[in-house]
Amino acid sequence: MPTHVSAPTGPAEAGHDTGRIPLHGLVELAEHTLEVVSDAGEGAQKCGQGFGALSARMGNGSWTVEIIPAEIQPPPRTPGSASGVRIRIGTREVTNWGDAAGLVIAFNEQVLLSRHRLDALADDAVILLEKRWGESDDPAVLAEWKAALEELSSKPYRIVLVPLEEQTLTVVDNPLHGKNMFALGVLCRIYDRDLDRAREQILRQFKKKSRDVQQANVRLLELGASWAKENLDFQIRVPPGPEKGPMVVMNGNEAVGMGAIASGMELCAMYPITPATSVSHYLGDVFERFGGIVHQAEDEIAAAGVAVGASFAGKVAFTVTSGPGLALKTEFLGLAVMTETPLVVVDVQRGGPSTGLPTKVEQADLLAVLFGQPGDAPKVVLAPATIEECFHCMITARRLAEALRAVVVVLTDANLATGVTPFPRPVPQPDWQATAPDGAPVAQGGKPYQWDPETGLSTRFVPGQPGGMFTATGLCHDEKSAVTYAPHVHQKGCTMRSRKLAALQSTLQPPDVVGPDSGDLLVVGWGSTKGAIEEACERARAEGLSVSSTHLTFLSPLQPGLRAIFERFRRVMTVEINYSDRVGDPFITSENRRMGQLAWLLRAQLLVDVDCWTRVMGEPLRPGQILAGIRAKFGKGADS
Amino acid sequence: MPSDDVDVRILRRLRRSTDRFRSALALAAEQVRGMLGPLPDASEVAPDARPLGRFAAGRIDPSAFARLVTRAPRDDAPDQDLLLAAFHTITSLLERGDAAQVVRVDRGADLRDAVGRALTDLGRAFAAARLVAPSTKPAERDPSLLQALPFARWNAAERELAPPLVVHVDGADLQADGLAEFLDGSLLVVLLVREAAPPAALVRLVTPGTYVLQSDAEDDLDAFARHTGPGIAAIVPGECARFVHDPRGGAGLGDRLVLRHLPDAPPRTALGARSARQQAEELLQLAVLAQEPPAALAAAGAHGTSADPIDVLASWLLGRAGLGKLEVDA
Repeated sequence: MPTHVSAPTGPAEAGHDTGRIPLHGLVELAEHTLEVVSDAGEGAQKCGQGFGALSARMGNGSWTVEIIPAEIQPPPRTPGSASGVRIRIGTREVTNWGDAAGLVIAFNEQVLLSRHRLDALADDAVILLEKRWGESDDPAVLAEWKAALEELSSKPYRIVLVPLEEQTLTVVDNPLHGKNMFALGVLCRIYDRDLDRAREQILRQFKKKSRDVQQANVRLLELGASWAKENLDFQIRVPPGPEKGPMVVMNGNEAVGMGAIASGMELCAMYPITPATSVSHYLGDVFERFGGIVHQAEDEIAAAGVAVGASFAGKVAFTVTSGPGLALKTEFLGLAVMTETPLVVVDVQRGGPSTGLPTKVEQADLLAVLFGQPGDAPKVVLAPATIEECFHCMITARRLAEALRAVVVVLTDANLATGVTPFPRPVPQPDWQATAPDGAPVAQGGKPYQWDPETGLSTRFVPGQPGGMFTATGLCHDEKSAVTYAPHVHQKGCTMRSRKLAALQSTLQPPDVVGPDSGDLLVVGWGSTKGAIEEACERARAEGLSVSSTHLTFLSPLQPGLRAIFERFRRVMTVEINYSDRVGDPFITSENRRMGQLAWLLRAQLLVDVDCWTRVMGEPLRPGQILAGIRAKFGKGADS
Repeated sequence: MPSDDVDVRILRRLRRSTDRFRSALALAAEQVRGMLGPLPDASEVAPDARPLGRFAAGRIDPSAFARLVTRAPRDDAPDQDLLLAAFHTITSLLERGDAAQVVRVDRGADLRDAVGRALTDLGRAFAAARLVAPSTKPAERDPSLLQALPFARWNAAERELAPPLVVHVDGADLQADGLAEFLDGSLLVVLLVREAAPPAALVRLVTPGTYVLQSDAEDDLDAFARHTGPGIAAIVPGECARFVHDPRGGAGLGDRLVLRHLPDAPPRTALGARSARQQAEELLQLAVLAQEPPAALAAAGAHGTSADPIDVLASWLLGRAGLGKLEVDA
């Protein structure tokens, strides 16, 4: 029988999505958040992602966020070794990772401690904790165990000890390869998941392994489920939502890769960098079937060069990177801008500066992509807000790059990249595919930069096009691509390249406002924070606060009509995952306060007094955090 | 018209040429599509927005975007009606697939006319591409060419892209010499000959750069398909002569022409418009061109004592074919 180390000690403030789970009987919830954490290499991510995918396939809304240690091989049984997944499932669509986990399976007390210290657990969370460490013969381990449980006792968690390793050893010799599937079985029983589907999923997951390995994992799943049935007296039911038609389940990096294929991309030139690498892993598996290739260059700079060169030659190319890689690609991005070579750059943002936080999320690069090149290097910048948009954004990006002969940067982030969620299965359209460049002979007198004086647009020549030969140069050039430093020529070139963005903006539509059209506060976000922002605002409105939100997907050029929207609200505040000085901190004044990146941009562009609320905690924003920020803005409670 | 299995098999062997033609067509279609802008189609997304993808839905005004990007191209671009007609011409030819490359010559009909009509039809694709090419001056855009562009008006580049044809024809209608005018560029023609045929009808088409194959085995088409210039092949009944003239064989005619089989019996009756004598002349021509090695001729028991190999060959061939009268007359 399991041992209840601590009993509930009265009501505690739970997260919004974490109903208190009774330890006896069946409880039905509209949504629930759980975590699986282990030392790196113990397979908690596989367990958690498997559970999320299984839930999605059963019709639940689902959003997963990977908990990734900063080190590649951190010392085991340390808080820094925590690796795993948070899964939020719901009857409705789930758009963010929520506030706190109501149930946790932890493979040791140290990784659990790390989650406790990050306030990742609901105060009354049910914790299923591997029990062997509390029975260790090693006095040091035992001391760590006792100290950890002492620290954990500061909250009324309900800890249930589970013989994870003991049970796993009844099936396999090495518990490192199996505890995760036992844990998955436990979760399947607790959340009433379909075991047949779970078995199928395991067989798919281990399809490249031997039959023995497959069967062992299935047996562990079944063992976990039967152990939970015999030893745990509670179940949580999160009913699936209504049938939504064919769905797919994937993470943002896979969605980017799939979108690249759907848009007719032919080349992905990249150099491995966390958290962007898995785009190329996915494409490496499938791209060739669609006529594309992944080129892993010798470094980030070369990858950008290959992409620019391929695009110049008439191929449809993109490169994928993260912040430090973006910094290295700067010179080639400038060349692409100067030569008006269509190029899509996917930047999967992570914490910075420098190598910063490789595995952690941050909306770190907005200003870098806008202003990272010397001189004026106008680019289109798009920011998908959901994993589904990571797919569809690639089609738009490719089209804009070619239509405008421009660099289009797609800003995703580590939250989108590794999060997994279901969304309606896209039905690829032939029109999404790239149109082949016009290879017909160039008309008499045609020039490679024959700018339309009004829009700045021009027709692209490709090598081999009869009559279209010209020398491409990163130097200042005229319409014939002849190098010249004549003052009026540079002025005209800059004007034409910039004009393209203004011309594009003339075709954009104002963003939607979620909530009332006017009020006290408008929250403005971009990128992966959309779900958390909208949930926070909804909760704020439920508390009677006059709050609306809008989410920007075009960051360069900005969508039109923003000033008019902002003027309908008494205050405007961006919510972002990047750094800003906090009002009231030492030396910080209204004149020297450094703002969130979107706030900088909006203030500069619109001359509106935009405030900001930002955090750089290395994790996605929680709705509850944002809600606290909103409340504080209204003088109701302290900011988090 | 649906293709027979044999058509599919043969066109599969000639896929390289077909792919080249269809790729060019597909490219042209995409170029025209690009000039046309969004095409109307049913979708959950507003039609004009489809090329921009769903991410753009509600964020980019598709009409405004279309106006923006279509003003940039050349100011001498063809009008939309012409572009649309060109687009439909190309796509309709692409949609016909193999059927566009299969010709069935009615019994008694003219082989040359039938092949010419097929090429004229396929030429409409080139006409469409010409209409939208930037190098075409507005005054030179002739929409009537979308109805018919005869092979005689194909330019060199178009002849290089010519798709292969599979032609079903009765042996009696095998007036292959009428096809000479089409053997240019990279056009490959495969004649599937039904019933009795003149024994060496294709010999009249042998020229240094033309691959000429007369065989009873489809497998021989693999080498034929690898030829990069013009070529004609006939899959004939077993009693016909079998030979191959492969321009890659060498500089001398003897290096290029390999005679594989001669009929056991001479043609004795007229076949269609070909008299027995004409058929015999073609056989003789084949033998003369092939210039088999003297040793072989000797082994075959050549008549006469002339040292001229051609005389020796003619004598042997005519003797073998039982055409002594001809030999005397000659």
